[in-house]
Amino acid sequence: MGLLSLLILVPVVTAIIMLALPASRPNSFRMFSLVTVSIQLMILGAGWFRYIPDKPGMQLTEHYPWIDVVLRPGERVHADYLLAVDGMSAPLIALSVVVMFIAVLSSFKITNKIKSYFVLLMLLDAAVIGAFTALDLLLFFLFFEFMLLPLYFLVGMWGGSRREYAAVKFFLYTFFGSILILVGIIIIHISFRSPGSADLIHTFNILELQNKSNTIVDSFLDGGRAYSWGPLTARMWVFTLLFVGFAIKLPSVPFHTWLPDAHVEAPTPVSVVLAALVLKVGAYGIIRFTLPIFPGEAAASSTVLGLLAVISIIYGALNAMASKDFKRLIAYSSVSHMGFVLLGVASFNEIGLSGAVFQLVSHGILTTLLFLLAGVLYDRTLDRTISNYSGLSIKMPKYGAIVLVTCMASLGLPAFSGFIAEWLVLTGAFDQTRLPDYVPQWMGFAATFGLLLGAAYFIWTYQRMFLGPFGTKILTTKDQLSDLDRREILMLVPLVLLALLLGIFPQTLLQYINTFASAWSNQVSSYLN
Amino acid sequence: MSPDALLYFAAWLFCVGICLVIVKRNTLLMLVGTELMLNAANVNLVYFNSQGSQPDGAMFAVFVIVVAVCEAAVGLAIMMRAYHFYQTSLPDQISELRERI
Amino acid sequence: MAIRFALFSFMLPFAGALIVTMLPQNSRMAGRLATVFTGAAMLSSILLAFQSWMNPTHIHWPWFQTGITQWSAGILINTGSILMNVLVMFISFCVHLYSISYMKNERMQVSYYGRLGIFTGSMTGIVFSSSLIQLFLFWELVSFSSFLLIGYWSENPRAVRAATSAFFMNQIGDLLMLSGIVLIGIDKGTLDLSELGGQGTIAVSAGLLLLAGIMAKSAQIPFLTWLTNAMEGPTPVSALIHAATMVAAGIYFIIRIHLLMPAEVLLVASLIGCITGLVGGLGALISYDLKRILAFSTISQLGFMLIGATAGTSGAAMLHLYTHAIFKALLFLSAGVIIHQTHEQDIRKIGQVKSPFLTIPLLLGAASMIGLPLTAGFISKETIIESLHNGWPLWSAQAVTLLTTVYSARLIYFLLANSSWPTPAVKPDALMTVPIAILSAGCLWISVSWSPFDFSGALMKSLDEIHHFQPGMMTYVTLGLTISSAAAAFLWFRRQSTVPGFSGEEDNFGLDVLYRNLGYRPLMGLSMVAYWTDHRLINPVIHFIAYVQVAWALFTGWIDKFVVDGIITAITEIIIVSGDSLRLFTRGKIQSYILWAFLMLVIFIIWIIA
Repeated sequence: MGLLSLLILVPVVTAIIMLALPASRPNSFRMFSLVTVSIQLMILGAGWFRYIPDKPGMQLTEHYPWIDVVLRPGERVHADYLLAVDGMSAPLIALSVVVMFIAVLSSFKITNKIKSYFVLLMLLDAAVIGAFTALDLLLFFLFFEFMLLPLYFLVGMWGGSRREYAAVKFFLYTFFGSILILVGIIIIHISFRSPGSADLIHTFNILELQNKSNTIVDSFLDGGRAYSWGPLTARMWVFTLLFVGFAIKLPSVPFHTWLPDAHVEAPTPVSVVLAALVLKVGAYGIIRFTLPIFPGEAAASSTVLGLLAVISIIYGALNAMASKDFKRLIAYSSVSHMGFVLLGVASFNEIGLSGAVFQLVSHGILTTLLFLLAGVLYDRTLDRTISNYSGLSIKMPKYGAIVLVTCMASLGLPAFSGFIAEWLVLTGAFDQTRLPDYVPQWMGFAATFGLLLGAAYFIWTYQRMFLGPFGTKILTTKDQLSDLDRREILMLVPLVLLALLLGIFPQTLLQYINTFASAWSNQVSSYLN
Repeated sequence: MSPDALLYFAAWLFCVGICLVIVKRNTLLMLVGTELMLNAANVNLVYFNSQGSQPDGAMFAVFVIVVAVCEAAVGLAIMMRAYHFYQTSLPDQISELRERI
Repeated sequence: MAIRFALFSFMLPFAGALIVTMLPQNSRMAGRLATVFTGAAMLSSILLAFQSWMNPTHIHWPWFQTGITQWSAGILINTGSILMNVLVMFISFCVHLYSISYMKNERMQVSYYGRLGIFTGSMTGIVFSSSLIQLFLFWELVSFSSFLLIGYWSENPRAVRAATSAFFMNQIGDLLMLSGIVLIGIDKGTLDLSELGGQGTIAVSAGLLLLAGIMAKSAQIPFLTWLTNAMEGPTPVSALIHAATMVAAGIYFIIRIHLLMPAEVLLVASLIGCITGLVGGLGALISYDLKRILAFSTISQLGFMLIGATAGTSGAAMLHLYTHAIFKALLFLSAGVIIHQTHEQDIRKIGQVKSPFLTIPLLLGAASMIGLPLTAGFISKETIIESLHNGWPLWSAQAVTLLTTVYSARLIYFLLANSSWPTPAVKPDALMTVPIAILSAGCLWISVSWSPFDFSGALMKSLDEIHHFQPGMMTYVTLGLTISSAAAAFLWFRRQSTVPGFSGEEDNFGLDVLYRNLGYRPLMGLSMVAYWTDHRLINPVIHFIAYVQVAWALFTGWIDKFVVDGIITAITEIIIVSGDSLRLFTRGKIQSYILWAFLMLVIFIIWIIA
């Protein structure tokens, strides 16, 4: 069994074992989960040594046939169990494992229905990592869908006061997106074949799907035939289906309103996983599946994508500014930051794409920090209203310092990872030399304006909550606002250091991304020409 | 007395017995009805015995009387037990095995 | 070796900050430890100066790359950066020394020195950066640490607001500059300063964007409000970052890249320098707050430097940057002593300062600012004036000089000759006297040139090897103007303390209100619109879709219940009814059983007989 299967299997096995344990001993579930994520960390370490950053293409591949149905003689439906990583998924898997570790640590605060909580969390862990490793479209979709279920319960059962609303909204939104993706996948599936076989084998393998010579002649997606349904060609329709499906998860304005509700209502660790990993799956789907299969369509609509990205950046930032709840502000800042990912993708060049992937990792780290920090306050006072606090850094100096550093890192202060990502995305967006007119230059300036708004809401919030004379509008006992304890520091400081490391030595991450980005841009540009 | 009259009497007696068994709500009277029906049979047996040469009809009649006695004894005993157990002697109210609708 | 000294002076302040932060919050050791580290950094900067003065070194490493595009980071040592580094370290050391006494009663010693350390290190980073992206990194870090330092008294809402607005103003400039740097990178394919040097000037748009960053950092109009508001911070901080180093970073940067700037941008820059110089001078002239006077005067001097850097020669501007840093830091530190001991910032209410430990430094600083002969300021100011050839920059520079003279005279009058208010008992203690004395010595001509009347004496010769400046016609005109106007102003303020016809410096000539109405309010409005859109536009659509879904589900549920289920129910009802009717025979009554049995028997017999 390969490392990747192991990585997925370990939490599943833990979940099954935990189901068999009696619910009366809560600590056993905590310990089991902690051991599981630690094992995952070790597997990650082993993978780190096995993975060669400079080698282009997929590595650590595990390939077994999975489904093979004969439709009629000479025509088969085929799906593989195909797991592999490359320069984009490797950092995301590393991020997932680390964030899951942090999420389990921060889940120690959960006290009710612990057994089912940790079982669901472990299932979510497996599904997220599965989605990042699967290269078979069907397998990916399986994992993609499987993330929904644990999340629905985790938000709906352990959430805040409006948890049912948030959970149902989240489920309906993302399920709608999944249906669009499913329709797209089916059309893709019937239009592509595996090469090198006399039989007509319909394939789900993304490595085969991204080669346009594998399109079945006269199928819906045959570019030469140009089927059109209504105003758009069939290819454009399917591209739109997939894009919108993933854009809901991303989320891009105007498909984003599930996000603030779900993030605000979810318990801290679930918010962390949602923002740091689940959103990334949407972006991953766009970069891995949507664009390589439909590069021409993506290029043709990249101005629209760029526009969506810019709207997300500015609109998310404005909404964050208007938020009264600290956690809601963070949720909207995610909308804004994920807009940079979309902008990097839309700019359609190597630098922009590297920036998008870098931003995925960077945002994963920083948003984890932000949500953990919001959780710290909520744990103490059960209240996150910004206007209820002022001068917190006097009572909680360590907390104030880490919040400041995190806010600064999130608003793109250099020396932190966010800056490198923004730098690359902006360079990609402004770069008009290679492929002209994809993203107009004003969008680059608009994104810069979004950064300014980011600075405004972060610094303004910090000013309102942490500076000035101390005061709260809610009753607090004397030791209620205690400073960070050791467990919290253990969770927070390594993440800050990680963001700092990636900001000062970005090449540690970029060496992975670069091989992917250059392969991607070669492949896409060969398709375009 | 013509032989037909005797048979008619026996039939009448049987009818009275069966009517008692079917109509009366009291177990005691149902038991009485049973006795009447047995006796109606006895009358028939005695009459038919007198028509033949051998005394087998009379033998049967004696048997029937014995059986009737036994039956009465057992029946009364059951009745007493049932009365003790259910505090009633009305068969309609003894409905332990009856299906409830 | 040179690189190692540069690295030392860059790393030591950061290391100091890190180590100081490990100490308990109110540790007495913090100040001394931080001072030792800064002193070591200063030492290595001086060693660097000895090592590679007039011996430019450039070293750079790849920092990160994607595809074929590579961004480098490195160290670019030339005369300008060595001088700037020494200056930064020197002022920082003085301020550290001064702070040990000035801040000794503060609760958060450790954060104070930690923040100072981060600032000093970042500033060195700007000084040595060899590529624009690396420079931008430290540029932003300087904004950040300045935010920390202005907001040091975080319980004072005014200080907090000043810190936030300073950060935000700088962020506006920084982000414009960032897009400028991105455009340059795309246009030229490199961001390394020495490689850019060989490629001609940059595009005008990129140049203007860079200029915006420079303007924000150097508090040029229209960004100047953050600097005056930043006076809410501790006075040593004002001396370090709002007089000598951070605000000078913009000027330093434009001096470093002025060869890359297209002529149009330089023209715009000098125009802005003129306006800023005049507005700042005016503000200093009408303000009554000691620190705000100094802040406005800094703004005015920065405008003056910008004129010099863009319309004159960069060497002259660098020279003035150097002298200005020294005399302005001196003035701030002296003012700090007064404020620290009288808790009064209104110059009318301070009274006559008598202690020679203060009067001599104040006089020296003011003289240097005015540009009286035998001071360093005289040489640098006159060099700038000499380097200006054409019309309006020269005349506006003269006007700025005139304003400087008048407000300096006013300041000196109120601090040293105002007998209408009781004399305060102010006297610096030893730890404060040392840096003040060192800086006072720095105000003399000797720190710039061997001969007080040879402009291209020691320092200028290295800064500008092409031009040679000597006192000329313009020098004497300026000198005459300065001395006469200083005397006239001094006499005027003896009789009358105000300048008639001007007011409004308290809200920075209405700029605060303007920004509130043009920046803050529309932004809040927009954010409310966004909020409204989310809650009143997008969510209702989602809810509507959900309701339609629910209604549809209810409808199909009704169909299920009453149509599909109805048929099934009807069938079962028929079966039940027929079953019940059959059950009539078996009601559990013995007698009815008997009756039926009997009847059947009768029927059977009848059937047999028949």
